[in-house]
Amino acid sequence: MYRYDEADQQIVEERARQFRGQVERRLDGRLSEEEFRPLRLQNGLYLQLHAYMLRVAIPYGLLSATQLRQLAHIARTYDRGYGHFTTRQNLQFNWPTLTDTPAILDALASVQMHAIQTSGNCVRNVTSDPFAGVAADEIVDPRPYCEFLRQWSTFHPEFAHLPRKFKIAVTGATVDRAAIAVHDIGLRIRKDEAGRIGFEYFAGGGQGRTPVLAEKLRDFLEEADLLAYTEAVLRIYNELGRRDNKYKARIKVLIKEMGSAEFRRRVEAEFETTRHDPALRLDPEALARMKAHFVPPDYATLPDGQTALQAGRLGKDRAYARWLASNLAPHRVPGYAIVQLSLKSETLPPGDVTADQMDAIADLAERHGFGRILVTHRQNLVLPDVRIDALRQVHAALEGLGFATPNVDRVTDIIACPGLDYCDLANARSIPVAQSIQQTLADADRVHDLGPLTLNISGCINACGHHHVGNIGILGIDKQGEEFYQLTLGGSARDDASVGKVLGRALTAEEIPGAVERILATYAVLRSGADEAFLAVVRRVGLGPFKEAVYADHS
Amino acid sequence: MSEPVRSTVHVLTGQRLTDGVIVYRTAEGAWSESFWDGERVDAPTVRDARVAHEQAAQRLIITGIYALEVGLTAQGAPVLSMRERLRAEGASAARVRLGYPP
Amino acid sequence: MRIIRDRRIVEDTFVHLDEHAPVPSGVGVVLPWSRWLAERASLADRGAPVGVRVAATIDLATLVEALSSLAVVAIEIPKFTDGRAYSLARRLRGEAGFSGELRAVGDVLRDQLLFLSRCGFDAFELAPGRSLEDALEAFGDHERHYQSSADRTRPLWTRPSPG
Repeated sequence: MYRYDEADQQIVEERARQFRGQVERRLDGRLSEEEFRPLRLQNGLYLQLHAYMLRVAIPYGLLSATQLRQLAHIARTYDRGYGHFTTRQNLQFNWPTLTDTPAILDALASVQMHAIQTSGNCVRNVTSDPFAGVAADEIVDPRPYCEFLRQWSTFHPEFAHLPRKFKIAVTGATVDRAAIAVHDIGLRIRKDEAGRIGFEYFAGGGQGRTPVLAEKLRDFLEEADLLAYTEAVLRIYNELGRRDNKYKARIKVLIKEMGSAEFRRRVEAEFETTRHDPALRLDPEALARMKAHFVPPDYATLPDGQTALQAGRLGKDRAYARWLASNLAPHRVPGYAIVQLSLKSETLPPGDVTADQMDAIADLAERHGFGRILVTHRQNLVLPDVRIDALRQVHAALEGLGFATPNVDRVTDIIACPGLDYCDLANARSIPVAQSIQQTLADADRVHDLGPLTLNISGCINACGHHHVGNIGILGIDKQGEEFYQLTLGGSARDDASVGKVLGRALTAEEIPGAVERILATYAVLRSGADEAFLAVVRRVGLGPFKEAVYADHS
Repeated sequence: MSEPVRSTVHVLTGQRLTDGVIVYRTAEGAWSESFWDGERVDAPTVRDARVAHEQAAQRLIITGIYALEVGLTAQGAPVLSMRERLRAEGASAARVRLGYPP
Repeated sequence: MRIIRDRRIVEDTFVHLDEHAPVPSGVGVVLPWSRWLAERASLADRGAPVGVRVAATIDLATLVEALSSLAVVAIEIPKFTDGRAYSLARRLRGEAGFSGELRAVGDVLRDQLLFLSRCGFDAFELAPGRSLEDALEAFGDHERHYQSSADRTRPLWTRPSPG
């Protein structure tokens, strides 16, 4: 992974010192709350419903064991002993104080971490494929480009006060696990016939109250032009994005209102200037140096292990068999597997990990791998380099920790935002709804049989829980101070990205688990066979039968 | 489900700047962490003047001061929105059930 | 009035005029853009520097055309969270090649000074009631920068690998 030298280190230390000064000036009155708010947000510090919340950046979701242990230390020392992994591959602490935050930043800086630009109207933490560098279907490792984008956007002086937040996602694999269609900029790395690397360049996607799928700007942007082109996109957005209405301020609205052809024309015209700027063009030496940070670790030469995997899947240990089937992904190196830790169980809110669990995961990552951990946008963790001959051991360890629920990408692998339990913007709670669905669907065999199915819950229209792109989406709304939930069906965040459609009138929290049950039962009846996934059925038959099942005789 | 609201009053609330803890203004002009200690203000003019005054006076101590609406039933029991219920109760039912520290 | 120029506190040598105030002789003046447009001919040969005050939304081509006769371009920042002035400054320092004084006026606060200066601003009129001495410290908040800007710093990713 990328390792800081003294320059990187100086930047995060200077940041901690700067923020300490800003906190002092807020406390002695030199900064008003109105002036301080954007400053603390650009450092990931929110004032939430019950307390401050600090969002720590995990660039493209990649953590070292040392970093994870430090997060555990921070959780114990400055918080209530746990942290929350988010859909943007970051970690949130829910109970820090304002006065402790500078010390937390020092603690983060000591392990090459920070909270820079994890909120605010600026370029946010770049997200990517959680299997980057190890996925069997990877064409090009996206991490060097993510790191270039991270460095270019960190304290970019021109783009610190954009009309609204700005999110970039990058994938380098055949299957899009980074949801690039719903980001302000989405990049798919490609190779042309000559083997040269470039980017299929999308812009203007997003969720929130107006979900939009991104428009393609370029089929193939040369590798060297990544920053020059991105600078052009950002400059056009900074100058022309709407600032009169925060709900219309995202780049997706600019592109819709201007038309994608005109937007592209302006970007290309600007790019004519930026592409000749040597400070933006990535020369071969810079590219090579960056890629050297991400060379594969020392893998052992192993038999491919497929026989053992097959035997495990068919074996008598049902829990292990199901886990192999759902929580494993193919590794590019023979004899290794990518193991996903499900942070979705009945015992903790989705994405929550206690400090002791963080330490244990760090130990596992060192014992079974090269000390790396990844965060997925579905709020799970990944041990990327587990030897197939050690899978039983790892499974046993994860069962002990509560992270072996065999449900990754299944219906109980629920994405949920913090909701009204924590969030100041929320209209309704998400966590209890997730919990109640988990409890109704406790039968692991049934969950397994239902196949791949995403269920995403957001506590408000800001859509942090990605409800628009859940195969089943649940959106919390407020009706006269009471919580209600709207169901959507048919969303997808993958290559076939689509926005879910509203099923019918909003339901109470108590009605939701039953409604989900009826949707699943309807699917089980309608599917043509075990291979027809939930999304395929919704697309084939439409909402009608599901609407009927949920609302008929239940009003 | 809940009893009808007969009247509404307001309680001043905000969050402590240093740690974000929710506080309520008492009749004595102090700030308490308990909703039940909050003074219920009736007259809109008094309420608005007090919010403006406290926002200025407390700007280095308490942030985001506003008047929260409290419905009262015929028996005088307070009725709060879900949001204000969660603020007043501190920890939501979900977290208590999951065994988190309050 | 005291301002910050080239990272020092100095007395402003320009007189700021509204739409109607008479133009004094022998001293630099800064006028609203609309007035400069109307009176540009008579202002050209007065023998003292002239500047304009513009909104960040100004038509770039018209401004660029005028640059050769301007000593100061003062860009208004209506609210410190409005980032358009940063891009305009970069354009003026970059493709337009403006080398005169680029001054930030309006809601100009300490915590934005470093980024404004990196984008090409070299003079700052702080918002009313702000300490200039306090604000000067902002330039020291960060010594190292990853990317280049109007300041032409070398991007950190071009540095040779250590060892």
